[in-house]
Amino acid sequence: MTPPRPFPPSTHRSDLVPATRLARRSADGFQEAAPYAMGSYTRRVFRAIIRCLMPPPPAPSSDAILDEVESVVRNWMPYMLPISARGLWLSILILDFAPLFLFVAPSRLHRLPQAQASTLLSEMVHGRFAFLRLLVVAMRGVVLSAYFDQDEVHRAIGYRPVAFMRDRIALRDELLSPKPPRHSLQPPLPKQTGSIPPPALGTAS
Amino acid sequence: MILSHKDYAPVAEYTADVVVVGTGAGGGAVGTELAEAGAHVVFVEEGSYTPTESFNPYTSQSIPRLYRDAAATVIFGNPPIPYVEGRAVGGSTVINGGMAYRAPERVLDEWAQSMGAPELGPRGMDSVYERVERAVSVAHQHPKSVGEDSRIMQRGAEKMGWSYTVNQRNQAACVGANNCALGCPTGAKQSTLVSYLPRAFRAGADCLTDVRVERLLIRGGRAVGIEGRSVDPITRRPGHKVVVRARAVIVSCGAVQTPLLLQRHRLGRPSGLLGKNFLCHPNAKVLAIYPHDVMGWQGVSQNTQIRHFHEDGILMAENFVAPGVIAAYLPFHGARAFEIMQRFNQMVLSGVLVEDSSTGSVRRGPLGLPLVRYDIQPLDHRRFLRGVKLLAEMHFNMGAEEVLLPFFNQPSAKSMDDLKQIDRLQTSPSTLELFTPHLMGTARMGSRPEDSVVGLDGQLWDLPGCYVADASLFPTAIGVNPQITIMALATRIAERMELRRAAA
Repeated sequence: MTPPRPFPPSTHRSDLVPATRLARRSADGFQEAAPYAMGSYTRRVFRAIIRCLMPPPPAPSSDAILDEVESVVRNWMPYMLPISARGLWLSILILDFAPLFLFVAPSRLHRLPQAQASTLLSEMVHGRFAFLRLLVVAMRGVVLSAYFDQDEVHRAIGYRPVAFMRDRIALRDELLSPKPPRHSLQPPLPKQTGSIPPPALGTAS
Repeated sequence: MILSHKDYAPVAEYTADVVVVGTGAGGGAVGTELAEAGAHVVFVEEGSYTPTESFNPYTSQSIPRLYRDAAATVIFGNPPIPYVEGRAVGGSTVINGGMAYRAPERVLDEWAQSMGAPELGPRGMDSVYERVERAVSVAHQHPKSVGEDSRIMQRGAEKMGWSYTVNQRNQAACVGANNCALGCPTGAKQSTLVSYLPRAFRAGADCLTDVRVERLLIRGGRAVGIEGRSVDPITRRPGHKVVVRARAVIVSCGAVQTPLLLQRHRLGRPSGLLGKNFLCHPNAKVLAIYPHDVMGWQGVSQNTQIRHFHEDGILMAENFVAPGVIAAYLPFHGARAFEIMQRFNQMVLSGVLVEDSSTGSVRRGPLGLPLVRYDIQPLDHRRFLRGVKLLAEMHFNMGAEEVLLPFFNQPSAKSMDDLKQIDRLQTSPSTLELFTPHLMGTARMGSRPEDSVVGLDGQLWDLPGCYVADASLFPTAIGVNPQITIMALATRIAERMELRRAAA
């Protein structure tokens, strides 16, 4: 097993990168669409499904994260094709009634204990109904995508992109500045000069 | 000048020499070449303008802002395949991995022979490719900017005795921020947003953003412009009417949206091939978890391609992306999902790309929505099984503890023994979990109206003045990342249009 090679250390000034860079909400005037409209019942069911799909503690699982996941998914829906967004909305209702029409539980999904509902969704993925599998996979995809985009979750999995990317922005700015860079990572030279070492090729190339 | 929704009057009318629908690899290149040759070009883009300073590592904002339909787009078939396209100024070049390959010589030879057009062969295309490669700064990465996941792939290939290549990428002083899929925050990736389009704007081109083109304007049997609607940013509903009148219309909306627009006018009649010949280079992910930190998000991913099996139609590569993207494809939820994602820093995300052996179709479905169909054929299914097994074997040989597989009925393997079950369990394509970012072939070019949709100059056989310049042109799959070939074909089309304009 080969130990990881550390990324080159930085000597440049990432504090020179404006604070607005890499912000979660960019400050360029972009207007987000209004969240997709949902009635109180649909929202209640949707939040129950999100709870089933979200990792339980010790993973970050506060109400604030639940709110944020709901908000992110509802913000995405207006950007989808109307029929896809409506399909996602409909799948919330279908999944809610799934325990009844699959005869696996005597109540709707949002009324089941969270662990039981979560197990039931897992079983649907491996069940014999391809249609239900697609619904769960689609719902799981959007919910987990939104969940694993939260800052608290990023910290929990050791992902700290902003500090790293600020560092890279500063490094590139320094490389492209007229002053000679202090860092050892030089910008690639134009290919025609032949100054870049030829690519390492594999054994049989 | 770049205009957006708020700039349009209730009925906004513009005139231009050429209107280009789309600003991605095809539209960006063809529009810029024409603008620099002196034409007044107006680009029309459905997405919005996102400057480099606004890119961030968060899927919450980047997905709806940069991806068509918030990436909730699916090819129907066995199995269904999610696909992604860019919808922003710069198109898919803003969100792709930045790999810059020419089409293989055997593919160009085949194109040249089948169309009787030697200028499409490797020698004929050489100067056009060179011009494109200069425009988008194609070069190898500086070794220090490369991520550890790429190095693992290289060492793995060497250990297995496989040949691989180090990718050329369209980048200028790339320092490995590795946010390619959500927009390059350093500006190093030379998407058309930062390479071609600024040149076009300097040459006087304009860009109408947030406008969805609904139909072509046709007068006297000739395309004379486009008509569309602005997209209200809050409601996402159609807003103001936007009309652009021009002497030529270039459609560069990608292999799904281009046929969709043209089918509205029942074009492509001579061959009946518009929307047919849909190709998509389906991909399968193989996610390996190592016992040590890899930190795949630091340094350029996509620096290597394992090409040992290229002649068999199989490519392997790594492509590390943000956790919000990886999580969307996880085969688990709840505690198991978190257990896997807690090892985010130990992951190598790799994939198997298969060169299509069959084709699908794009047609207008109910309400004018795109209906894309494509089925995985037995040959490609066998290629996937072989490619996934080989790639997973390589990861285990490199010390991976677990490999997540692209099969819903066999989501992970913890040892070589588990891989032996693949042949027994994977008997049908329906258990495959695939995706694709490479869409091609639905308005194929050719030298005869009876077997193509557009001529070698990119002009529709049955609508003078209307051109296609995007991946729809490809007669066959090219087996490598298509952006450079799209730009090259678009450049050729611009040259021919310019010659014709000069002659007139």
